Amino acid sequence: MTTHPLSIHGVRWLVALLLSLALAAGCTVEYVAERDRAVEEELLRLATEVDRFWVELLDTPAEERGYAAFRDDYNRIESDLRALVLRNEIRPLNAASTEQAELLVAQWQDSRELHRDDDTYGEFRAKRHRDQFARMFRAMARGEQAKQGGDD
Amino acid sequence: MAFDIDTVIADMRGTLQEAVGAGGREMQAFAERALADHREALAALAEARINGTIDEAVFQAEIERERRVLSTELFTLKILGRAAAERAVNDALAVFARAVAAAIRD
Repeated sequence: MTTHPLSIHGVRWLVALLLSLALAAGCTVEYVAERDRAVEEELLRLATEVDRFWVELLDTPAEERGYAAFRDDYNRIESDLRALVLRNEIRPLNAASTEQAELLVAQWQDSRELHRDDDTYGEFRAKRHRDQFARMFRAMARGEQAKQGGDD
Repeated sequence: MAFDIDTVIADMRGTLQEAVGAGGREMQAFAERALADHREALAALAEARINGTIDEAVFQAEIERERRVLSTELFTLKILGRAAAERAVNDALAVFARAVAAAIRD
């Protein structure tokens, strides 16, 4: 059997190739979670769902804004927001996004408690709360967008 | 090509500065937008309290809600900062690896 020893030039090429491969394969630092398109899409879907909730509430005459009329929406959206916390929680290096999702749940629960206690929702607060959720979702989407890699 | 560590370090410095600068600009743009939104929201809240549209309990509850919004935005700044640092370090290391690879190839 004939062997073909590598020339010095060949060895150099091999080392260069290995270095490049090593670099491509992960000789990089990672300080934040990888970008996750599915979470980004879920954020946009939830932002739309939550905004639709406020639009419908604001479109309902004040005397018909009792809590019972919106209970199902509160339940459904709260479940979805909690699922978002879980989706963020299981991703490594993702503590900041998890905290954001938890704040979103706390804000939603605050709205629900207010509505349940008052059994109505005043115009002033409803408009403010719609805007607050929009700002929170915008911040979260921007954070997700800043992450790199993933399924880009 | 000969490997010159001083040239490589200078290139790495330039790459780092570029990446950190870009990250800083992104953070600044986001913070400015967030602050402008807060200015509007807090001005409306102050006005409502001063003219008596809302009582102290509602005012305090709204401040707590604004705190959650601001915290969410600050977490985004943290993510932007970490992402910028990650990009900067990886870009600088790539400069180094490319220089070593080029020296080996030649």
